Amino acid sequence: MSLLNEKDLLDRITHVRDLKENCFKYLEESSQELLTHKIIFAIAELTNEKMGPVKLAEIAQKVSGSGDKSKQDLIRLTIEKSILRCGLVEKLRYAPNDVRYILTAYRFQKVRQIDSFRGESSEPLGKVFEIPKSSWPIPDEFYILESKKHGYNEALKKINSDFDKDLIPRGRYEDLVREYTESLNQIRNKITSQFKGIEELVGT
Amino acid sequence: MKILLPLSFSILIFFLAVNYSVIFASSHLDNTSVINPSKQNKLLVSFENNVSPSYEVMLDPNERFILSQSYSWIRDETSRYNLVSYSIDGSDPIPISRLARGGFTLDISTDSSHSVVFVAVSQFPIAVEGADVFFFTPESPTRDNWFDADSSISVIVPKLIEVEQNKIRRIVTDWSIDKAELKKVLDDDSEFLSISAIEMSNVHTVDIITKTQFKLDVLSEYGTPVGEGWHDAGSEVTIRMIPPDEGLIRRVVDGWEGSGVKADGNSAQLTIRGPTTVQVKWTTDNTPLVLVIGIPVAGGVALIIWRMKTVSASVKKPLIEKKPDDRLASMQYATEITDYVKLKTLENLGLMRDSNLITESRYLQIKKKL
Repeated sequence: MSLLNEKDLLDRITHVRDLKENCFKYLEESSQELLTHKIIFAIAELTNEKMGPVKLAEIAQKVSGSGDKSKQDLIRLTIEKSILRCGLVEKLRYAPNDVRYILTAYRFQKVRQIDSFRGESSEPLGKVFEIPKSSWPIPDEFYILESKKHGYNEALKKINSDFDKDLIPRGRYEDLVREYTESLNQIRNKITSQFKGIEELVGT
Repeated sequence: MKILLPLSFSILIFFLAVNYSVIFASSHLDNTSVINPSKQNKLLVSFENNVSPSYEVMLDPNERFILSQSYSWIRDETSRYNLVSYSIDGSDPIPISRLARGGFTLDISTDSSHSVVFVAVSQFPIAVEGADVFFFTPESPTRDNWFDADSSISVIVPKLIEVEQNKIRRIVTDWSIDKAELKKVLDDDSEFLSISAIEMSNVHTVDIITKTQFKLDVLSEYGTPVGEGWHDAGSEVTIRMIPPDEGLIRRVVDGWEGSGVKADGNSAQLTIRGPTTVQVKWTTDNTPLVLVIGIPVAGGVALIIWRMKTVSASVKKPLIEKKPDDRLASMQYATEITDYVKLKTLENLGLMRDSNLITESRYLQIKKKL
């Protein structure tokens, strides 16, 4: 059972979140050994597997190989004190004893906060950081549609080339082209309507 | 002046004191609204007709609260409840998209107490056995095989199910509801069997009985085949060729080629065990032509006729008739393209894995679905 709908998950991928320098450091390679870094990436991987927010016990199991109380407490404190405050992770309470966590976004922009008499503003620093695409919560259906789109595209190329070589009669050629073009258009429409913006980001 | 100065000073002190007391009071109030536990709000969740127990949840004004409720839950061994609508704080019912699985979530504002009342209906399932293709009318409100209690539905099944195009098909012959007496399917022009007025006040099973048929193709350069087409699996079939009427040159069946075919001149017998193609071989009998041309030229012509007779039909075949071969090649090409699509689809999925777009386990999971 997914606790967030597909659109909510996909919105988290398309949205780029600004992070202050002191928060952005948790994502950087230099922080690889830090617990905060491990928690962020564990939440991403688990969300990808479950296609929804994840429980503290699951994060503890993934990060430390053990889901015991002391490990869970340590991870909860780390989340509460750092990455939750930074806005990297969102805490969702489904029931009094069912709290789950999910990343607020999968792409982050480091920004420098500027305070002036005109008010607060920020300027971007460096490139957008992406959580690895293999951890993005994209439904299987997207990859199925993308693979089929490639399959139909290649088949149409082959049909055209075979017709040029006189390997198939005109009647069969026209039937096949019509059939496969129709299927390809259906797939394209489905990708555009259901996975708007994802195709460009994934770059399949 | 001596009196005025202390007075104005004391007035100033008084104003300052009053203003500060207001400031202190308001900041005290602000703090209280954040930390006083007695201000915590409640959410009461209940169900119309008590289809599920009510419960209460404390709301923390500092945290987001998402109420989650399964779309369906068990009622008894044969039925379930399914969410239809909800109302919040006594509002008019708000419809919920009908879904069979998963959870309905509602973002509840935590700044005050609320009550949510869910409305659910009973549903019963119907199973259709023996048919891969069928549909219900009206469609299930939850887009599966479960229907709201007391609704009346029909099951529609195509009478002919093509298993492999132009090779294998299944024909619906009988049907029954809840294992009762089998009923014969009417042999009319209708493409579909419609089993109507099924009252969904209980669980139901519809059994569809089918028989398998295989296509028998006869490939022949000449004449008209009789007996080709669809036949029941295991049936004994006789096929025969009506030779063409071509005047002075007579075509004669020379033989039959095909698995398990017993040839007998112009006809042949076989048992249908799968899609079958039988090929007819022909030879030429020029006797009438010889008689017409006459004996004077018999010497010279006889030699030619003799040579013509000996020419095998299989040598002539491609020059005279291409139709059967074209049809086979065309069907074969369509199959090849279908396989090609599958191959390229899988190749692309493999590329996604190789470029770390998807993990190995995800790759295997998606591959199964393709």
